[in-house]
Amino acid sequence: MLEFRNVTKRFETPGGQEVTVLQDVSFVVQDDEFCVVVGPSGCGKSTLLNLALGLVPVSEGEVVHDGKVVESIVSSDVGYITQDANLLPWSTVLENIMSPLEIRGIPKSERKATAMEWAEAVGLSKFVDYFPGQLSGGMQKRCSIARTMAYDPGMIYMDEPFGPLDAITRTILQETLLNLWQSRRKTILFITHDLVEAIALGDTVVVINGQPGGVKARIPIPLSRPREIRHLAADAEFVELHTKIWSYLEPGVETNVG
Amino acid sequence: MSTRVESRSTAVAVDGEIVAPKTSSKASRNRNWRLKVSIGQVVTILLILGIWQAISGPVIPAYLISSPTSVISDTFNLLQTRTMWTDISVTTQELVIGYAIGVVFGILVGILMGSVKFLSSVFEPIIAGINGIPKIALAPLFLLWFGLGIWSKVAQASMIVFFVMYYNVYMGMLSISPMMLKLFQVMGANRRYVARKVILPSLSIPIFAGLKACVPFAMIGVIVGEFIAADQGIGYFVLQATQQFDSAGLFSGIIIMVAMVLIGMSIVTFCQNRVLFWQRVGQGK
Repeated sequence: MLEFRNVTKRFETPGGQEVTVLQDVSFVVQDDEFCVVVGPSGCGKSTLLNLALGLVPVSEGEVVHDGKVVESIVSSDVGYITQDANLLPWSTVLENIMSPLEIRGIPKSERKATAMEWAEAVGLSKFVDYFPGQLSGGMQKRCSIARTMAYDPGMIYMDEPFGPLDAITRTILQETLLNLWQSRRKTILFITHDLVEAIALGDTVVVINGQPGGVKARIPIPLSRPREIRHLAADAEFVELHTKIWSYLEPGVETNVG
Repeated sequence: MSTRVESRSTAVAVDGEIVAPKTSSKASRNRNWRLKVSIGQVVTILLILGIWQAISGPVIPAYLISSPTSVISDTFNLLQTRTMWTDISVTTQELVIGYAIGVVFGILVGILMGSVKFLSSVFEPIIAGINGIPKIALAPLFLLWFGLGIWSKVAQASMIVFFVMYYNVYMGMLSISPMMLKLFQVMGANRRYVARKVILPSLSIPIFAGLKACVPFAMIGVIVGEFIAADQGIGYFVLQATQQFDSAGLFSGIIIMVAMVLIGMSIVTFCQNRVLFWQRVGQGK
């Protein structure tokens, strides 16, 4: 379980001014929950992730992960999937997927078997000997997902992972992610600025908006699973949720302009 | 192998050239193009040599510019003398030692400055200031410190090489993606793993760029050192030839220097191709 308790984050600008990015943020991500944080750019949602990962310290309040207050970099049981695939360009797909297993000291034959399994699960089994530079953006993303899943972290943080992809690839990858998550439940905190993506993936959508960013709503998504993302736009319930969540985003959009 | 990746990989640039897809018409067009380029290069070189040969004597006195034929025969004769091989061996020693010292220190200082913020804040402006010195102006100083032998030339060469290498590596350190480092920290990697698997491979590109650029720079350092004061070496030989109005000898000396630089560069390129294999994407598997 991940808990944000009255978290406030302030940064100091190079000019010495203090800027509050997040103000009094509180919400809970339950175990095995797919929680999506949605908000316009500049609302502090990436900062939220960095706080949860322990990459930056909170100014006030606390982040609690499985009963422990997050103070510095949390490792071992968390995964992090970034906007760019961030694969090692000098390592093959297989070597990339194996690297966290290598870090954990898992014997070579075992880590190879596990990596092959995950390469297969994300549809890269034919490309294990390719270098990232030889793959498309979507395939690189598949590889980075496999790399994270391979070491089986209980909690995965995803920071706009599908942002740079084209719409078709994005939808296909969202479905792949949901299938993986369905077969092997994990707690996921997923950051996005794409409302359709948020509703399509999440059990819960947390809307963050304003400057400083604060939680405007926490909305459960009752859509049944498994979900067919490509057909969601025609779903009446989806449209209703979409309209509802938009209402929390609107005022912030205005204040964020200029 | 899927056709999807194959078609992608063939369109990837290798060493600045676009690798042609494997269709016969394009391949033959490509061959034609390369042939034309080669012919153009050969014709240009022959033209220059021809003009040189023609004007040597009738237009410009031979003692000023010599001629291709006498340079070729002179080079050939020189390479059969023992003194020339002594000169080559001395210059090679100065070149290799000076290059090695400059490269090693450049890499070490570059990594250090790139990883410790305090050091770079303190020393970066100072290093930039020292780099402002025209390094050739230090040659008399090195002569004073290290004497007439090879060490004053080694110092001169390593001084020049150091800065080129240092800036390459330092910039390389700064360009490593902070996101990648964060990601590996979250994955649980310790400093040693990050250094070995992320930082060193990332630096291989700027290091090899530096290694290549530094070969001719090292030669400049060595030759300047030999010009200032020496009793052996190719630079010394060229200077002697000039003072005796032996322009054929001068050009031969230059040709030998160029050959040494090219040999050095091809050694670096050979190593680069073995280390940076992953950069040659699109070669197919």
